[in-house]
Amino acid sequence: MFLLALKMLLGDRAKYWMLVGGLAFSSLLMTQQYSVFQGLLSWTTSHMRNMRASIWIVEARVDQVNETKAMRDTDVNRVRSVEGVDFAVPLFQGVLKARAQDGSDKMIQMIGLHSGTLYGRPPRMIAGDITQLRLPNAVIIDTVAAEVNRLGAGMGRPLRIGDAFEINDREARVVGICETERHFFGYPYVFSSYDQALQYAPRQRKMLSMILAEPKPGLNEADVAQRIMKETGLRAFTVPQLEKSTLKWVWANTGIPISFLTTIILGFVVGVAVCGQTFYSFVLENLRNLGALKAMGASNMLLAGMLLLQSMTVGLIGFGIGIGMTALFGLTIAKSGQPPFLMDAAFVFEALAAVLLICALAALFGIRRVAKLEPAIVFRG
Amino acid sequence: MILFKRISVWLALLGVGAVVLLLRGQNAKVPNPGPVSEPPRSPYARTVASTGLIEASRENVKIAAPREGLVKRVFVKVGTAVKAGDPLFQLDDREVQARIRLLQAQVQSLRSQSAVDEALIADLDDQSKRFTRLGREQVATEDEVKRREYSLATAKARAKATLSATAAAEEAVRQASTDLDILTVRAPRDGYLLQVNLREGESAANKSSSESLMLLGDVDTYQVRAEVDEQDAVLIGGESPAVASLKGHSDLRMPLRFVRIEPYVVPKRSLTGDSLERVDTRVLQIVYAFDRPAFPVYVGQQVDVFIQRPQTEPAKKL
Amino acid sequence: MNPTVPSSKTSPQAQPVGQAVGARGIVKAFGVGDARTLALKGADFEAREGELHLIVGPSGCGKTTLLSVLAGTLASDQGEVHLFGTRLTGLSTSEVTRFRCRNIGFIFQQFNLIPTLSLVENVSVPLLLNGAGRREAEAKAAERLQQVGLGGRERQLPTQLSGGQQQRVAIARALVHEPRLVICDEPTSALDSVTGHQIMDLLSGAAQAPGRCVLIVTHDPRVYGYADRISEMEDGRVTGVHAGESLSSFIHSENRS
Repeated sequence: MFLLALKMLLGDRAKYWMLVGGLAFSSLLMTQQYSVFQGLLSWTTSHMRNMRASIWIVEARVDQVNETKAMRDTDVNRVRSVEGVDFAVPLFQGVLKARAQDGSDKMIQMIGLHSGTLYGRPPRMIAGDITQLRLPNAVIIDTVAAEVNRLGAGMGRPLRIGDAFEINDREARVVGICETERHFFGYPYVFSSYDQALQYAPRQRKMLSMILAEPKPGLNEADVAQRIMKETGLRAFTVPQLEKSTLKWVWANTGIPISFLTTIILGFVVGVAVCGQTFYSFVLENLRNLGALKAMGASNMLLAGMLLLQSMTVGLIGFGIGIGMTALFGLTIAKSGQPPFLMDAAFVFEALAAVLLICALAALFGIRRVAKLEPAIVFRG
Repeated sequence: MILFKRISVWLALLGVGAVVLLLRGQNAKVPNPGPVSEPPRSPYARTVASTGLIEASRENVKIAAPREGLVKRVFVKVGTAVKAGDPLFQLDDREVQARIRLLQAQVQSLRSQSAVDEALIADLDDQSKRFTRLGREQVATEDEVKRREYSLATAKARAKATLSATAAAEEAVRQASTDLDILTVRAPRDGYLLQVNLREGESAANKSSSESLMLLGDVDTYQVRAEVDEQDAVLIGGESPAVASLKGHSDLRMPLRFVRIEPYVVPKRSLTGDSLERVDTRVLQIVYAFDRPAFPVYVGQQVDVFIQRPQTEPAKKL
Repeated sequence: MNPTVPSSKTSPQAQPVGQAVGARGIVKAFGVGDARTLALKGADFEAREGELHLIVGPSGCGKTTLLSVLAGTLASDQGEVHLFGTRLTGLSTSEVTRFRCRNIGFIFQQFNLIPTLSLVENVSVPLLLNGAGRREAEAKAAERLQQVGLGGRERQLPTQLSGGQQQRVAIARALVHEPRLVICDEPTSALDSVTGHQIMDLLSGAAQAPGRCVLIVTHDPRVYGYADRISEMEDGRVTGVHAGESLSSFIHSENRS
């Protein structure tokens, strides 16, 4: 009977495509919007993927990774003094103004890495040697910074190793090019040594933005972070903690989540409306046949199962098509990185659950109608 | 299965495939590249970390000029090893030389005067002796004899005065030579020139007081001045062992010997070198000594210092 | 074939041997309050095994309601129904459904074939509902289609057939699981007279099977001639039963009027 139920569903091509299409559209809307939203959110934490460290230590009032409140130089040593810390290095982070060859000013995300270890260096180098960062006035830029409409302005081509530009009237010579994940602010990354970064940055009383630390082997990152906080009074985060805190900040301080959430909910509602309507009318249209089946001895359970199977089938297929479109969208833009896009595996399942919920709801309406149906209806002309 | 005759099903499966592809692409995470060199690590389980500067073991000697003047010669370069007394540089000595030459001429002239005096004395002595004989023979008058005697006495006295004047002039020459010697600045002790901020032809005393003309240090034993944040000062126990590692080369380690704790907590030296900088960090300075290691180290180099924390925490009871 | 009857719910009251359908004092009302109307006002009905039994009467006399009650698709307010010795009244809905599934075949006025399923699939539905496997069901269904003269068209859709052909499919469907009671609601009213006669031929043939009873509600006098017995209804009651002699005079008078 279930096979026949599927045939009944597929036989009505117009309704079938309307159902599948509506659900596909709904799935597309939900997952695509959520992925763009996730991508946008992930941009706010891209520091943690462009600079790798287990524990991030910031000033006590800092809530998120993009915020800097400078610490004192000696705080690095205070962190190093905490039991369980394997090593700790300083990191400078700041948005500076750079001047391209044609004289135009471009904002850059300046990162100063500990000169000795260069810890927190970008994981993906495309050209050049990271250790050359120790040379005077040396910087490593990311591919975005190298672009013609960024620091490559006036060159007529992207910046290459050996090219130079200015940061705060100081020369910056490119010794390497790396690949980074785009940042929320959209500024390209420029890496230099910590000491060099302090030269580039406008002088302030305190310059130390962050401290990157690693726990001793075998120790739990969160425990060590906790101990750092207790002993130094600074704020220490593990990567997941800092991500969470940053995202929390974004949720609390920007309207981005609300607007995306609205669209996602809209997608759900559209899905419910289209699918519920169509499925219900599908049931109504087949009511006589369903009544005949009921008269012939199909139980309510069987009919409910058939309706549920039908709705779940269109749900799964619609969802597959919708999420496939989202994935194709993601794959297409993966190269350019614009707009932001990050598909969350957990959300794929959540969206699937939402779509199946839509279908279950739609089936439920139909089931209610069929359960109330007197089989005797078929005897009336 | 009837479903697989439908294009929609294949589209859906294709979609799921695309999702898997996308997720796998997204999850390809580049691993942490790690530090390029050994990071500064403490060898102790419980530690107080600090940074320090390498100094020569006895405090470095800032060489100054004895007086203002142009620099005539510089005998040493940065890195020259010197013994005590070796000349370092010389100020302009023309004035003193001129004075010496003048005084020497005076000595010469006085010595010539002495020769004249002696000749005169010999003459007068001869005359006096002859007139004395003539007087005895009653050929010459008493007066003539006396006159010759007095003349001789006068000449002798004058010669004595000339000798004194010669001695005085010679002393003046010696004094001028001392002045000349002072213009040559010599190493006060054995050592190694860490800095030479002086070039021939410059004026020696116009240098700002913060910068010395030359910096003389000892390079066989060094010391490290470790600066510990005042907030961590309580964690330092008496003579805790410590190690230092060179900045950027943390695998190069030097065991340290405790020398002393500076009892006065000072504002942190800022390495940006801006003297106008306001400082709100004060540091406790601890001085450690170490012998010249197998690898080259230089005075003024920054080091990471790890000091062992004593087993017992300082009493926190009120 | 002996009437083997599910023993569990057999009425303690012995039913007459050979009785297929027995109903006594059936009352059925529709609506509530002022709108409440009595469709059946204490109808008694009886049909025997092996007969083709017509229920006739003017529109609104309650014959379709009676048929629904007899088929177990509608619960009566009063009275009781026995089918082949099983007391239907008092069984739970799911028990009635199961009974119907096993023992009753249905033929509807509008055929009610599922338009998106092929003929063989439509016919196999009752077998599937009884738990048969798909292959076995379709084989039997194809055989039935052969018997109603539609061999070789198993994979066609009902919409490709004429009304008469569709009704034949419906008959195949009603008979495919060898039910003991076949219930037909105006099987010929949507058909022209030639086709109607062909259909009635098939149905009267079906009634020949031992132990089977075919119940037909109709107001089409052309088919009266096929009946073994006719129950006449008026105003919610069975007012007369015609068999043998009285049957032919009844047919005669009806056809004349």
